Amino acid sequence: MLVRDIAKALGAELDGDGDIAVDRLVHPAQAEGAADLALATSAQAAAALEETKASAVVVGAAAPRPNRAFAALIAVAEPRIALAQLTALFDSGPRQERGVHPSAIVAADAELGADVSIGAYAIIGPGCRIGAGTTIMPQVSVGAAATIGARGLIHSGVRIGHDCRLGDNVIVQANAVIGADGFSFAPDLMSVAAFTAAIKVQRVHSLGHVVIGDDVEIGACTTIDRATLEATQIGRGTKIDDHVHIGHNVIIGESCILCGMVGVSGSVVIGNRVRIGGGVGIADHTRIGDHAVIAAGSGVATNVAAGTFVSGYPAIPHQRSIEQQLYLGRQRRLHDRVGAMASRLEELERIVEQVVKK
Amino acid sequence: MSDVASDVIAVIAKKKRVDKPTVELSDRLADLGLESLDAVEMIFDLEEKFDVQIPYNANSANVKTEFDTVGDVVAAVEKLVAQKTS
Repeated sequence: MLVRDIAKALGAELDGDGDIAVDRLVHPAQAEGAADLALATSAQAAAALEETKASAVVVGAAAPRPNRAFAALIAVAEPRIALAQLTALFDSGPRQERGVHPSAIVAADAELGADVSIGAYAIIGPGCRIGAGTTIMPQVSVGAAATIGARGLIHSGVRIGHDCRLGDNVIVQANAVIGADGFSFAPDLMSVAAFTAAIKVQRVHSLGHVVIGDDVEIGACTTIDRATLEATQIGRGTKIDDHVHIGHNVIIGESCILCGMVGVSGSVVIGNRVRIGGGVGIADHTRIGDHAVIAAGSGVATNVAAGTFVSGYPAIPHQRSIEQQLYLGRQRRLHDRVGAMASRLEELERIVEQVVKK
Repeated sequence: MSDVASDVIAVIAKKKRVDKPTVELSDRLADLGLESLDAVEMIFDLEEKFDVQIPYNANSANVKTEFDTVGDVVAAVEKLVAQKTS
């Protein structure tokens, strides 16, 4: 790749020789020669520029220019966006051949789009439809009548259950499970005492499926349960980290961010552009409004209003949560002061009693 | 620098999240990477150390807006310490 083309793709200004060819994007300290493009958009990486072996570098336009000269220097206005664009340019993908691997088992009536790639030991069930350009890595199984859109990337070991539907440009990381049965039983036991030995717990079967919108990313080992009757839904552009669990009947809107270890109980409804920090637990049937932010480790027991930032257990608006932390932290001193006041009060009462007796 | 200032700086230096060798009075708490819970812990530490109660108005949103810089924290603590001894 020519440095000139990279600068153009980034929409950034290039200072120096645009004809330098680079084939790796590296931290300045890792550069081995002129074929490496050094990325130095953090202060720490910029410091490493002094010693780098790279001739071509990318720096933040707002940061001070490096002390030494480079054969080519690209200055980007928004380093984080440039990082996204650059890593996309240099990502060669999982390097799997196109076509169907001889060891893959593809049902006779499965429809494969143009230029798909099906890896070794993958199993594509009857009635499946796989969109054009999608890559399915080794040992993936796709259940009966499931559909996957175009340009998807399904990593090794992913299980996609029967009837589930994935949109275009969906990325599913290794070992995720889409379309397991919901964790649903009868009767509803609403009190501690209600669960007697006479109660026979019965399974509520999952007849529904899972629908995943375009541009969704699902992390490794994440599990998304199918709905009881309809569909568990993940909206367009939502990004889900590793080890997230999404229960049955859940509906998640567009462009949400769910960090690692989040657990979403059944029938929760999450709006659009909601951000949920790592390890958050959300109780069943609650509603999370658009744009809400839930701090890492929170336990959501009630509905969260749109546009609010909640934290703690139970999750409450963050400022109240902070206020509670302050009062909790002051308890020992409060306790000491009240103790001292009680002693003085007793002393006073004794004196008053003596005065009254006289 | 007053004793209060050096003590406040020591407390804040423990909480900061950025790689900066020294903490100056002119540093903004936000630039030192102090998040809301860091600020709460900072207040606990200072209250313990100086035996004062630092006013905190939860409704005025966050600590960072009440105390913009390290110097603001020092000024507040110095005022409280002076009130206590007078």
